[in-house]
Amino acid sequence: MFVASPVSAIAVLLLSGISAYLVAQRLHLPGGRAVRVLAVLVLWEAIEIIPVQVLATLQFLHLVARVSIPKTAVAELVILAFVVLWSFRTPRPEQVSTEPAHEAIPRYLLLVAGILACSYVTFAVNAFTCYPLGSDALIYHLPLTTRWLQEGSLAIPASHVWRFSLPGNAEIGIMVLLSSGWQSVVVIASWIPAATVAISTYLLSLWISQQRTAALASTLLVLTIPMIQWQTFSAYVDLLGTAGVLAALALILAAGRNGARIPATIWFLSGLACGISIGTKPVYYVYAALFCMFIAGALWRAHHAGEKHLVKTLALVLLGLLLPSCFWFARAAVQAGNPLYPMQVKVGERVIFPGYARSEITEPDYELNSVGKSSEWFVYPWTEWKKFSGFLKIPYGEGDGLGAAFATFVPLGMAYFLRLVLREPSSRQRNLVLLAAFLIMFLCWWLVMQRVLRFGQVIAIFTCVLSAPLLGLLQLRRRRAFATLLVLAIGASSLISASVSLHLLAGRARKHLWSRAALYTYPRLIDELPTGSSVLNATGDKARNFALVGRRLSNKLIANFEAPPDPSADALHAVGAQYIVEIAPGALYPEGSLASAGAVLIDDEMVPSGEEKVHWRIWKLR
Amino acid sequence: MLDRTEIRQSDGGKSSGFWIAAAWISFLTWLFHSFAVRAFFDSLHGAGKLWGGH
Repeated sequence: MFVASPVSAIAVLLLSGISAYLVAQRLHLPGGRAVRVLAVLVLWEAIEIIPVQVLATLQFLHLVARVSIPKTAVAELVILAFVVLWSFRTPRPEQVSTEPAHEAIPRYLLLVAGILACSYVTFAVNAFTCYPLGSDALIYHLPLTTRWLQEGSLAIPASHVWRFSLPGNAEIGIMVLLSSGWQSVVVIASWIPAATVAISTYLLSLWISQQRTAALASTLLVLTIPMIQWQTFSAYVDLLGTAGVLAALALILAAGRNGARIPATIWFLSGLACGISIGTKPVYYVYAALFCMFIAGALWRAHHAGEKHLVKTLALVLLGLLLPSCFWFARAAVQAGNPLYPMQVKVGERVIFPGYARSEITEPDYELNSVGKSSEWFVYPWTEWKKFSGFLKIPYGEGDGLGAAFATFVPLGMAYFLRLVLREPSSRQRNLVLLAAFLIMFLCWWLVMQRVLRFGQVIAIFTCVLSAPLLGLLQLRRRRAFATLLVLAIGASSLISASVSLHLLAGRARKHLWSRAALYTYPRLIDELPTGSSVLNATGDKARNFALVGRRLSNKLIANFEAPPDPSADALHAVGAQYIVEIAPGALYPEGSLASAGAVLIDDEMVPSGEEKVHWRIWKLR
Repeated sequence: MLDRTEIRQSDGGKSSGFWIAAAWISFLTWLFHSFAVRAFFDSLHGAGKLWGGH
């Protein structure tokens, strides 16, 4: 079993950050300070992820016994030593700023930023006084990272269940932080992607509007989107995928502003950012394909630079794309016989590589959690309906909500952008390309991504970017009315979002729910089982998976989706179960079946959960 | 690129009145129709919810 070590976790995070900073200082990066900060963030993520993938590869080849965070820290130290040596030998390039002349930031934007910051602080206070929340995080992201830590391997499990077989760049960051033993800090893994999303939005909005104020307003607007705010304080993986795609685009457009020649480093970093997305989740394969089309177009426009330049650029983009993602394809090819596993590859009716169909991973009617019928998506920004909105009924969460500022400005911003396409001849070609990009992404979301709101957050942010010209117009021509509206809209969203954190915090304070067992509402015996105990989740509630690994992360979890359908003694022994945990009613197995399988009841108690009590049973298999 | 001069020339402030009015209407539509707003006020009503009610 692994031993929690905050020192190693902090070392990995800091050493990779310092290496990224030193490298970015020595690279030729046109486009201003924001591009340099974005480069640091992309490099930071890559330098944190890739050494873990290298260690995991060595473990597959039996060259190291196990992947561990202390070993990763040593690898990061070696990387930093090389970077320091390299930076002594490499002069800092001359910094030439191509940013437009800085306008003073208006006071209303500072006020809006302050309101938003207060909302983020309440989320942070809630997150750090709690244990990780969020359904997908509890069902499989955190159980998967716990398993990687316990087993010292990133292998696909023998069961080949899809939830534990997906590419996992984001889970690597979560694993590093989880290894500290402080479970609440896992949310910090989402902060680099959140900063990347913010800076990418700023650069793209600046590129399109040429106005710093409009770009800042657009960035603040994105940060008020509840989905983004919730994901910033959870262990979801979508923010990293989104950040990579946006950074890839922003780096090229910002560096190539005003027709400037894009240096080789930018092409590489852009590929690297997109590669991080590819290694995060299969949904981002679609965005990566669109990014590759964009790269092909950009290279086509630069064909006069010569064949040698084109080949070099293409090689750099490809290298960047593959570095943080090829590990997952190789792992899937070797261990599941399908490089895209768990996704099934099918041409017509013929299955090329076996795996799971899209509908087996995401239910075809998943969208009905957010809308009554598909056509209601066109009014969703103003309704923000949610079928299961929790005890507070506020329809926001990691996968839900666009917020007041989005509803106020973005649909109109898109209408204004369409007007620009039709009426502004000077930038028509560029605007047409942007509009086509939006339409293609929207069609992909509608037809391929099963209209899951979270899968379309790249598109939501892209529409915020396309709304920057309207924000620019309003702040130039109708400043007072615009400022009032922006403050009201962002204030309303921030207040509603913050109220959820405050409610949760107040609820925990009132009921003294500070321990892990009290918060996740499970019997304390789970925390006291011998280290390495194999616990099968037969509660019938998949969101209990992470709870059952225990306070010290020392229980080996057999997740609900790995449980044998038949509770016979042989089947339970075959999956290695030692303890079986049930909640009645709703348990996975019929009443009495575990006793027939030879299991002994060792705990039968009512655990307080909200205003009610839940009946838990823990069985020990002989 | 769309710069400030271009914005001034293309709109001259004439249409900006329409866009800001439309933005206010859009905000008010959200305010009166979003389930988030309703839930927020509902949660303020019940003392149990206000004080956690986990």
